[in-house]
Amino acid sequence: MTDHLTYPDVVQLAVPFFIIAILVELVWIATKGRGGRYETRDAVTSLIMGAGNVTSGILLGFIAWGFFMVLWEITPLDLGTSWWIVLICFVLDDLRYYWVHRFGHRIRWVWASHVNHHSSQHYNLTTALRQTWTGTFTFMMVVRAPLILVGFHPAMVLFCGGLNLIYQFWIHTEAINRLPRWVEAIMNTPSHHRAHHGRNPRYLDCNYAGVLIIWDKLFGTFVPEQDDDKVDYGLVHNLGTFNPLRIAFHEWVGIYRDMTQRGLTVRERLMYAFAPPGWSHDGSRKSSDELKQAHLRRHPEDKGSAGFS
Amino acid sequence: MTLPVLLALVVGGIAGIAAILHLMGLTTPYRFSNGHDAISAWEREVPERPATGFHLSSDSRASLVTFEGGVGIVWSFGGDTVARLLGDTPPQKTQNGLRFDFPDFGSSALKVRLKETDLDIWMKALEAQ
Repeated sequence: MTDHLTYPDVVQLAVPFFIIAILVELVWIATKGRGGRYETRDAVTSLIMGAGNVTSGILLGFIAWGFFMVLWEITPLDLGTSWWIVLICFVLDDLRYYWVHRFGHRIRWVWASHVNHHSSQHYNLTTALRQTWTGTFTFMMVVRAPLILVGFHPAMVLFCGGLNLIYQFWIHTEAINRLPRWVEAIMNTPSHHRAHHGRNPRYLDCNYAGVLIIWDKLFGTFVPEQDDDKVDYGLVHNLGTFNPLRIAFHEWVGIYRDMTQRGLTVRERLMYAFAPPGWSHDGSRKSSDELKQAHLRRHPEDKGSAGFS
Repeated sequence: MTLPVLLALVVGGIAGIAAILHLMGLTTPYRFSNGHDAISAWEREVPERPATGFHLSSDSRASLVTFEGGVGIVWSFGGDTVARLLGDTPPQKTQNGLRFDFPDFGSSALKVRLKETDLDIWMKALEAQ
């Protein structure tokens, strides 16, 4: 059994690349006069959220690592470390990412962690770094358990997860329009991910892919970016703060306040934590499905088009 | 990568990018060009409550918006805009206008600059709801 296996922390190693790429995108936008927007406080907030994400990984990473190592002790399987095992691990971890990401949009407890990534009204390379500080508390590390139990070493699984995140960095841009058809068909691209960041009803809860867009096509969540419905970035109810603490914790505070309201049944309290975002016991809020229906009542001509089928 | 190197990269990177953006003039806050602009920003955020009226702030960075059955506010947020429905809690008067505190943790307090004449208009619109 492979006990001591180490891979580089690729996300930390990529930090200089992130900085250079942001500067390149900025110069591109400034010289071409198109390809995205930057605003100082928005960008700085995104970068601070990214730094906080790295910090939380350093401080809390031992929890997930400890869990994975327990699983590694339990499992009798060891697939080894050959390059094709790493490749299979990468693809399966990308499938894992798809489901964790989908849970992140459909379960409020997980959304509370993921929401801050969507809280910018801009879409540029700094938005990619606007990452969660509270991912550990979603317990989504359990979704990685099958990978380890079938024999992929925890270090390899985390290495593949890091590569996945680095891939996703460059797709957070408006500077790249569409790529060749075969790339758009297989890979997650800036176009597909722009749609994912849209607050337009059409784009709610679509394109959860990390690297391979095939998962969305397979599981019925793919919506292509539409030229006649420009993506409006941000949240359905946009945040009114650049305070990183409020951004990181606002949805957790919302869950707490909702769950502790007076007069609710136990089921209703649990639904506030685990139902899709927008669920409410009195119907005073709208889920993404209800937002789509409300949009269709205002714009019946959109019925049957992408994102409304 | 050692922790001190990572720290230096992160702090230096954030400070450097912030300085460049500021020097490029990308810190200028959004201002509504007119009332229609404010209404458009409102309806982008709250499409189910079409605006029936508006009152721009003195610096054009916020607008009170009336709609059937209520009142809300839309304001400049960096280079963008944000909107909120206003509930029963009245805003507080400040030296330069009004301060709005929102119940949701996702909004900081909002200070709106209003000249005396605008303040009267806003207070009347708020009291009418």
